[in-house]
Amino acid sequence: MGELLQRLKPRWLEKRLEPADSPAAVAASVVLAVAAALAVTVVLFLAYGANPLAAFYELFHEPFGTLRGFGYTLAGAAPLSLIALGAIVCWRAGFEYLGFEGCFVLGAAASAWLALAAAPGGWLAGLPFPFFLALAIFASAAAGGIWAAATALLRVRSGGNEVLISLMANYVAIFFVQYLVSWPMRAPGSLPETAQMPRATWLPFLWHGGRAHAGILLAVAATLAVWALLKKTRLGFEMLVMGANLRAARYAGIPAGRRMVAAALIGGGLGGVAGMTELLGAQHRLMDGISGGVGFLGLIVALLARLNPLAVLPTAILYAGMSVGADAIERRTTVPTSITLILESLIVLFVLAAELLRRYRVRLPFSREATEAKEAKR
Amino acid sequence: MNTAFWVTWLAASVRLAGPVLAAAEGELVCERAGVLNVGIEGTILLGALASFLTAQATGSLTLSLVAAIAAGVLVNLFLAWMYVTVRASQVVAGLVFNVLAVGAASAIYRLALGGETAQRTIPTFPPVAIPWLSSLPIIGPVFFAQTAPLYLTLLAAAGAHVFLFRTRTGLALRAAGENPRAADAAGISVERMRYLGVLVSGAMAGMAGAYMVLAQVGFFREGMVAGQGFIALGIVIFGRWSPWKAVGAALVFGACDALQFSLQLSSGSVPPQLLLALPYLVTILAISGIFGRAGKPAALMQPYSRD
Amino acid sequence: MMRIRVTTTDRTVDSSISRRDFCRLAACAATGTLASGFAWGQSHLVQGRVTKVALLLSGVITDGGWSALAYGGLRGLARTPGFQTAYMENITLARMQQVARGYSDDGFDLIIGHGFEFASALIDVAPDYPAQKYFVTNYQPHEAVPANILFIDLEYYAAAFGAGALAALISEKKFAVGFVGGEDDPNQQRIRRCFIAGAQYAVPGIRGLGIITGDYDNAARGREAAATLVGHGADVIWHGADVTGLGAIEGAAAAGIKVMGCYSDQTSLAPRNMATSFELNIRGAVETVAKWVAAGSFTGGREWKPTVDEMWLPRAGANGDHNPKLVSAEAWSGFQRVWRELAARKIAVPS
Repeated sequence: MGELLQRLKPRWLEKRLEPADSPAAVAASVVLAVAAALAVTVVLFLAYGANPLAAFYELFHEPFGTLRGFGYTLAGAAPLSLIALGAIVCWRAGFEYLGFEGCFVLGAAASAWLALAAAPGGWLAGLPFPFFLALAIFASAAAGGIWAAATALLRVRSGGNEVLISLMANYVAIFFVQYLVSWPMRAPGSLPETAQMPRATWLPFLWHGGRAHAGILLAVAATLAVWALLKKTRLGFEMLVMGANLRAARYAGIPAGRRMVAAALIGGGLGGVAGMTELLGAQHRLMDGISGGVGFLGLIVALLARLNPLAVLPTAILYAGMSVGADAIERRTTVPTSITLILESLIVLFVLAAELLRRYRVRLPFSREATEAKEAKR
Repeated sequence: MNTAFWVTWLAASVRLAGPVLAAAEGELVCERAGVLNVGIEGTILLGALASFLTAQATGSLTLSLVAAIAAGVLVNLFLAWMYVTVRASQVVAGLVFNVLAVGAASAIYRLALGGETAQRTIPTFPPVAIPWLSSLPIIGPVFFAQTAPLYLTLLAAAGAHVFLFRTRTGLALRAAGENPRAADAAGISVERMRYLGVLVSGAMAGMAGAYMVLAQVGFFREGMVAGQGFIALGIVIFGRWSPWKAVGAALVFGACDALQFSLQLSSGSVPPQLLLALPYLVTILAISGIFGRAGKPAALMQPYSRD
Repeated sequence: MMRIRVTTTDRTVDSSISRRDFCRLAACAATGTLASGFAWGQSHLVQGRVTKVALLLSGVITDGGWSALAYGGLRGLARTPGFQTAYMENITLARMQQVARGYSDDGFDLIIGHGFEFASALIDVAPDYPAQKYFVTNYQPHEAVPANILFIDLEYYAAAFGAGALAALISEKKFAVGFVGGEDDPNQQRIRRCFIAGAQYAVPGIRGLGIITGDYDNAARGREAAATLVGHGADVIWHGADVTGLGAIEGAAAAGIKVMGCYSDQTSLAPRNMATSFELNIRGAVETVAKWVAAGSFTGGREWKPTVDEMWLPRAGANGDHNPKLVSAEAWSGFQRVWRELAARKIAVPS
């Protein structure tokens, strides 16, 4: 197919030796991809009798043009960016971990357990919020980190494949939390979920009446920490060397096994903290299905941010904004959920596929480059 | 534990394992070529929809099965392009494709229903008892009184084995998944082999969808695949990328699923989550490397580019 | 909602035309609005204002079961003057609060969460929007709830007891009858207990079997659960499991035994095996609550308690309320006796 494309490709299209990597090229390809996805969905909006322009207006206006919508966008971006940062730490160290769904629910479960203990009469009752928060961060990070490190150990000690192990381990963690909320941690009543967390344990909201919570500040702090770890510390440098070439790292005397477990502890820990922010910032109850797939969406954000920690927050905010906008489309137009699902997934797929565009260069017959090439041939 | 218990439990295991096994055999060929296709969940759903709509329009079960396979191949052409030509992250592209498939299936189904919400069902494949074999005690009713798609699936397992280990193309395909650079040097088109693998998994996933509609339930619902594509991934790993072992692995998954039904009728004290998590725990152990090499294709999930 | 979109388009048109044209167009638009507003006007005069109702669904309106029922009620409202409706499907647990707050912010008067899953999300949201009303189509949890949220006792347990009684009465072998359940939660566990108790109340000594599949959406599992029940001797099956339940009906039909539907009239799924269906009157409940809100007579902070024969209606397609080929006259009158006692709350169902 690729070869076929090569043979069929028009003469004005030329393959680059290296994909164009300038911010302008990346931005242009992303804009093209989003425009293509919107163009496809126009047809679907019309088929359901909705005005596409009104729908696209909601898509952008709700998340970024209203304070209320922006609050939801930030609330959604917090766990997304924490997971993306965790994925970046793991992946750039060469540990291809995909188990963030598991880290997320375990982190949420650990902080739910602590928060319930802080209710009146519990063994943590009366603990001032800053101490409680420190404890919750530690507990959720430990839950997620140890869970991820177990997979890292299997890879380091016995050569298991972390991608497949972590995909399967997600189910084990999810079933475990389902068990917790069905039996030992269930609130009296009918639902498989815990009681509401005591108000004193909630992450503070950023402004009155909005749903944006302090989780996004944790995400900012984590961004700086991950950036500093990878750029400024010896541990981070060694991780990057491992990620680039594991064998070379071993020759250089880097204890690759230990560094990989360390990367898993940090990355999985961030995934666990993401679960904590969702629980104490947004949901305030532990329930089956609390993740809603955010453990995988965070991976998409990490990829779209091209594994650059500083690009994570803007990407996560755009991504969270997209789903807030999609909700608004559903509320205010006649299109069913399926159409916004198509819209959201096409945007991501096309952005991924836009990578291909950057591998080519358009060579118009009269452009400078083309003339230069001709001259060179002579 | 009487014979009724065993026959009921094991027959349910085989019936639950059937569609998942069909999807797993295709996935296995795909992974042998070096591509982890997480998108089978979505392909199964679209195959199910294609078979349901065809069955409604034509009433022919065979035609519906063919339509589902064709639909699976068609949508996997897009997946193959994403995995092989674009060289996108296989896991992420597959996961997002699954979301796209749910949206597409739901939109198409709703347009096809045309505002009508009445329940519509289609005729399904009846069980076919194989003469003599089906009269064996326990094994007979469990294995040899099943529907045509199950026999087809078992044939496909045999076909996958012959293809992978007895044909030149199969050898080339495995080479593309083990060592693409060497395969390329030996004149094998890695791209073409990987496209082939993804399309085979599309055909089998489409068939799995048709299996669910045409032999299991007789109707279509948007949520009907319910994670079974991911179970197929587990079966491939648990079966260590061998078409025959995958049959056994599928039976183990099916048996765990069916056991919770039978256990509820006898004791019911085991938390169901434990039984549901059990196959995944066993799969993790199987791939952990603790019990010897797992046999994973060496270049699985590694995009290959000649330059 | 229609009107919101019309104004946006008008605005884009306005900006591109000259001022004089604009005046003429504005006049036309105004008369147009008046003309179309006239039809509304009549209900306006009666009702005072338009009541906006939003329905939140965890499934899809094409499921031919649980979600379709509530959607039927919403469609009825949409045709009633004075009501404006909207709905959203496939809402996952993690998104429920966000969606409910979105509709509340958009000024919807009544927000209906269809299913137990919505209970705590709406309880958490309701105090922040005291002007809005909320309705959850399920039991009130064991806690005090805000004054602007209403729950309903669907009489699920009484219905399950009645279904168990009818199953036992129409069983040929009088050996065992079976129930197929959905997600593993205390509701479904209790429904199973009530079904079994009902069977043994009507036919002492009969075995009541029940499998809770752990899933509302997996029809293949439902079918296998039914097959397992048949393998253990059940010859009548009832379900309470939506799509999983549809599979159970297929399984019962494949085994050639009697089956009973749930939520909607499911006779067309297995015409030769379906004795009757217990149709849940969610449609009536949705319409009633919406009209209370419109009339200003809504009172929340409580659980509304209709009787079992108001909430559950036996239906059997063209045959009326039961299929006489599968249900003998004697069995039917026996069932009706139990049903009347349940409606009068004379039978204490298991807790």
